Amino acid sequence: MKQTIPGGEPFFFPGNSLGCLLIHGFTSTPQEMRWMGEYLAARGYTVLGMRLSGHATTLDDLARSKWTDWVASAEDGYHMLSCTCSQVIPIGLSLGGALTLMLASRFPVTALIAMSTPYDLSRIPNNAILRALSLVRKSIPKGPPDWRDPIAADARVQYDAYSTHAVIQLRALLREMRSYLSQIKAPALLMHSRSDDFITPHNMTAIYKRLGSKEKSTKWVEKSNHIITCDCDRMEVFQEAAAFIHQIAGDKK
Amino acid sequence: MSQILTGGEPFLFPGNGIGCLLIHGFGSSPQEMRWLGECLSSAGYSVLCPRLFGHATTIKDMKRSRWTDWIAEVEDGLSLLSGICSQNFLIGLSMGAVIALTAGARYPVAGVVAMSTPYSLLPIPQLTKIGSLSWLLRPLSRLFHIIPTPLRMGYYNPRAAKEHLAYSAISVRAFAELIDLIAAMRQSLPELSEPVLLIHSRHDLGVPARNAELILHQLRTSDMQLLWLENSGHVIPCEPERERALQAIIDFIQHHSLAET
Repeated sequence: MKQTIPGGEPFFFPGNSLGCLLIHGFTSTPQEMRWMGEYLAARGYTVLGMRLSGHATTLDDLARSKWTDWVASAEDGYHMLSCTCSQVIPIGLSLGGALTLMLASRFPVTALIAMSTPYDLSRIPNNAILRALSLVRKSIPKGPPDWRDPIAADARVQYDAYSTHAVIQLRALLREMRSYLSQIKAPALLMHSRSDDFITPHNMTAIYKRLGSKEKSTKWVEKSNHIITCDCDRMEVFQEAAAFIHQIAGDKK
Repeated sequence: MSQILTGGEPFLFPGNGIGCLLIHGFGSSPQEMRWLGECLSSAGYSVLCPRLFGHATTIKDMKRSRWTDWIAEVEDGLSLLSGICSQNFLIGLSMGAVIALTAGARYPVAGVVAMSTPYSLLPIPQLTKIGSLSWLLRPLSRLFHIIPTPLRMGYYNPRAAKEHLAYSAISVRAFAELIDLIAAMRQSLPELSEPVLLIHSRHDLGVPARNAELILHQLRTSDMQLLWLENSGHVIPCEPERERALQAIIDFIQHHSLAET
């Protein structure tokens, strides 16, 4: 009867005037940001974990999506938090990380945190191949979970395949993101796992190099795979994020 | 620079433990619900008005909308409000009211307020028994993407007519979804067990008054009321009698919400 996958619902934790907008990744759901959201809410911040359009329902919905829908979803979250929070910090993983960068190029965000963010999809077949493939295969199965923390892997809620069409849209979004990187001015924290074998470490280096922000820092974790908000190093990731937000909030006061 | 049209952004005003989820109409935007939202927030309630998929961006996005997207966004809204609220009211206008009545039968809510609600889009509602026209519109929509005419709102407040942020054309493909959504609502009406407040303008040009009577007739809930407005058009929260509608909504919420503990 429900449209959304159980466990994949968005969440809101009211708190102080600093709002954290948590944005999940491609084919995933707010579930992968929930632990981080609970961690930040416990520190007093207002937290909104949004659902991107086409996600956490059915793969057919994702196949209908355009990259502009995902940006519009992220904008929705930003506007909702802006109603009550004087400072908004978008915090995203993977596609969500790319969307935090898009938001920072369009709105006066206080800072941004982008995790496991792709710079491009160089290791994925090019669009011509994907388009040809999409004629015969609407989706590409993901295979068994590649998360290194078995408890986190068990808890995951996401599609078990990629929509071929949506991968083409993701690539279009990244092209757009790259063209705005140099214009971003907000303080930025980038985090990535050195053993991310899906979006390899060079992606963070490439984004860091081109990012316009004067205040920018990077944080490497070692053991996790791509989903660093859930995998083995998650506490390290949460602590780093909280310390960064604390410092930003202190600076602004 | 932004995807969402200026003024059409969704809004969230956290307040007490009673939540009001506002749902805007077809081709329109949260802008038409903002005054109502601000008033309900001043009255102490928590208020959330999502932007429905395909809306307040470009009309091209409408053709990719499915009515299930709009229901999913109400689910999202209820999930978000559950972070602050123990009981929620669905308050919709026009298609938003159709969504509110449909979602009200699916999810546990404290009550439903439905304004300017269509029971059928056909001139003679009894024709709905023959079957839906959406099957015809879907292939047609490949030839005719949009009908370049706005929906008839019949404003009594000329300023509201100017300020109303909505697409100035109808997406044919999305209209087929609207028809199917209304059919889903008709099925859910007898299953709806929550209290319902209907508000309708007697002189609504877009959705004539008999639609409200037909809905009332189909409802089986033990608690339903219908408020008629005499000097308003379709977009009730922007019309001269909106204060009256607001008072009726606040009375309804007060009457049907449990005391907060």
